[in-house]
Amino acid sequence: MTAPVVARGLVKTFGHVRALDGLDLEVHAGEVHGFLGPNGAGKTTAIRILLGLLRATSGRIELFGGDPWADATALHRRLAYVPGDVTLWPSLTGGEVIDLLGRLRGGADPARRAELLERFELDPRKRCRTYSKGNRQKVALVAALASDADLLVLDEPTSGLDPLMEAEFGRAVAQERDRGRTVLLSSHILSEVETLCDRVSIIRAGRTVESATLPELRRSRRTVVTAELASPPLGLERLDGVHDLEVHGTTVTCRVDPGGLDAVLHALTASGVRSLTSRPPSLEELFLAHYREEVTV
Amino acid sequence: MREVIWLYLRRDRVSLLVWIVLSALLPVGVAAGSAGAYPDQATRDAFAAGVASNPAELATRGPVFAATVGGLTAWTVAASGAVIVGGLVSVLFIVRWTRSEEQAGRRELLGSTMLGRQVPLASALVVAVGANLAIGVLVAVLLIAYGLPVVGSVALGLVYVVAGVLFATVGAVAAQVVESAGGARAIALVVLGAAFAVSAVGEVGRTWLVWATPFGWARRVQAFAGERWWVLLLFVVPAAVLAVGAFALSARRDVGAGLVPARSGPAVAGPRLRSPLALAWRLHHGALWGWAAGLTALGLLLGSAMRSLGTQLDTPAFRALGAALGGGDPAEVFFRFVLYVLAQVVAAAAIAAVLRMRQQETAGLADVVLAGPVARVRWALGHLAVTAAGVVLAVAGLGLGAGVAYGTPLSVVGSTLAYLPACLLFAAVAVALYGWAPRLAAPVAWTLLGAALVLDLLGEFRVVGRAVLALSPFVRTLTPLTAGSGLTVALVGMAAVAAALAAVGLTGLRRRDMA
Repeated sequence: MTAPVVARGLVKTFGHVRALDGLDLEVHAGEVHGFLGPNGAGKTTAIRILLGLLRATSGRIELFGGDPWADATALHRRLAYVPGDVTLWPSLTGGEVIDLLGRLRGGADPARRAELLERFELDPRKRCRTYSKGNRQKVALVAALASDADLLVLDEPTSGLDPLMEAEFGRAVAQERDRGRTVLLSSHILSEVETLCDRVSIIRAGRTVESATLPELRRSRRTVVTAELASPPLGLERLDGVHDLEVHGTTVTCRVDPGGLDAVLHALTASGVRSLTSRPPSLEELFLAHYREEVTV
Repeated sequence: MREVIWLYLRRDRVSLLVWIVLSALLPVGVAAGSAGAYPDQATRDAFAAGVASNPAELATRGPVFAATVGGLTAWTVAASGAVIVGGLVSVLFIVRWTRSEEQAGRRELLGSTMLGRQVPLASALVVAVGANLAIGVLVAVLLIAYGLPVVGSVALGLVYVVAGVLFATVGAVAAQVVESAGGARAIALVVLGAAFAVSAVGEVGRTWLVWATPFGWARRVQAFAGERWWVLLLFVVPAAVLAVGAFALSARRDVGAGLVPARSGPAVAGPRLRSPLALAWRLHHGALWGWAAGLTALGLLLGSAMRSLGTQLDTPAFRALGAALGGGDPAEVFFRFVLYVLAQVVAAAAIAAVLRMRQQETAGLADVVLAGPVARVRWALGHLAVTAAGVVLAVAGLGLGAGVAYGTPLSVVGSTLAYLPACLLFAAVAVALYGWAPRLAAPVAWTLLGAALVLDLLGEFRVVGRAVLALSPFVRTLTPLTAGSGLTVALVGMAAVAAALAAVGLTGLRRRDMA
């Protein structure tokens, strides 16, 4: 089975601005793929190329094995999209928009629509001009989730939702994955990606800097080690792969490269370990680490 | 308040400047044209006599009060320049600065600062009054510099000021009443259109109705023809009342709300709302029926005015005029001219309808549809089909109204429908631009329509020759219509060009990035 989304060396320029600068992205069938990056990194540009709304300047992009620019109409039968900044027709009601979008995609399940309206506490009789940002987002989400599309493309879908609705959204996405659908979720909310996504791609300035599963990402990164010792540690600062070392009397905190863990543990036990915690880096730390690297380059 | 005024000026400095300069240049241009075309008193008297016996001229411009260069200038621009253009642009700016800002949520950002709640409206009115004052002063100064009498020039300048300000206050009230900017513009447009229709009927029948509207007042200030200054008060009093009303309404209502509250709508879409065409119809059918109803009513008014005039018109003078214009029943000659003017209004509506596609695109509403299995051409064709239907309905309604009221529906409808290709041609130009250079679509399409109107004016004063005049699609329709031959060729030709332009535009749309 081919991957629903494959991009290789994708470049998009607007005049002199290089919005995408060799982006790579691969979304596997049946996974929830986190698409991470700060504001202006090129997430929305990449998604709009994927939707055939923009034409890539160079590079290769495939949607379900087809060309999203040339075969947009046929390919769009298999996807549903929630834009980052949802605008809706001010004179239509939310219910009308949901039905219209569903029918354009070839029909949606009315029972599922009713269930989603209930779950997201959305009043479908209101005109779209009276909806808040969060409610407009819910309209687009209900329309996308009620469809039977294979791929859901969600561009920062929770930026206007309250925490309760955000949790509801998380449950809905998990259900969709269990039903075998693929989700591409762009976000800069790391906790959301951490709980929902199987794999993540981190992009910066239009280029992919990392693409892996969360465990893989963590394995390749430094572990945070905190230890309470019997006596002040000796020689830790001389070991390879030890970073951000802080020693307060007998308390030690440091970050350790995967290859240096063994040596660090030996050094610590030499001073007598009273308590020891080690935890994998959080996504936030991974994310920040990437940006710190880019800045220092 | 100074900051808000600065904000409006900064946002719209280019369009404000263009409006002021073009408005100020029109009267002096017309004065130069009149002086060139009618150099001596005899030709001017003949022209004025022709106008007096031509109901079409009376309906659109009223009587000539003095057969002088100044008098002809005032006759040409007082109603069409000051009231229509000045009033219309004032409405558009006021709504843009008040209700559009509120609808977009930007008003809230301003409102959260230390601004009084009346400041946005007050600032908008200050800028509108200032712009109209600038126009008035420039009009007077340029006319005086050209050599026209000082008193008349000042009077005409003042007509520009008060007419613009009056419609600015109409726009201000409309912006308080409804929640959408489009609705506010529609209300103000209906007021303007109704005033035009009433004044046309009044001028043709020479009844008291000429005193009922700003069109009649603007003419009866009688610039360059024994100025009647008190008539200016007829503008000032309703403007003051409307301004006070707008502030009172704005003080009472919630930000974002109108007087007419938004009602709940259907929870599910109707069974037909399932295609881009159905969506375009759902979005625009209100405006479309509004145009059709308005033009039908206008046709009925004009037709009945003509009917009551039928015998009076059958004078030797008018028959001579009719013969010079291709002959036929006096009513037919009349309708030919009125329809010629109104077809240009329909063309404007058609351009506006095409440009709604661009508005949908920039608002992100095209993305929502195009992310589904909908080809761009299918989406665009939905819009264009509704646009074309609107143009046909508007033109047919106008002809049917006039024809039924006059008693000869078929012939009037026929000569009205002849203008369809010309109107569609302007729409097609807008489509071609939209496909290839979307940012230029609005300015270039409007400029071309404006050029056709200016060409008309220049032709009337014989500044340009027939060959240049024939560039205008409206002239291309009118000429064979009066001559009685070559109409089919002209219409089929224009329809073919329109179809080709639309096809070119759709090809461009398929190839470009969406905004």
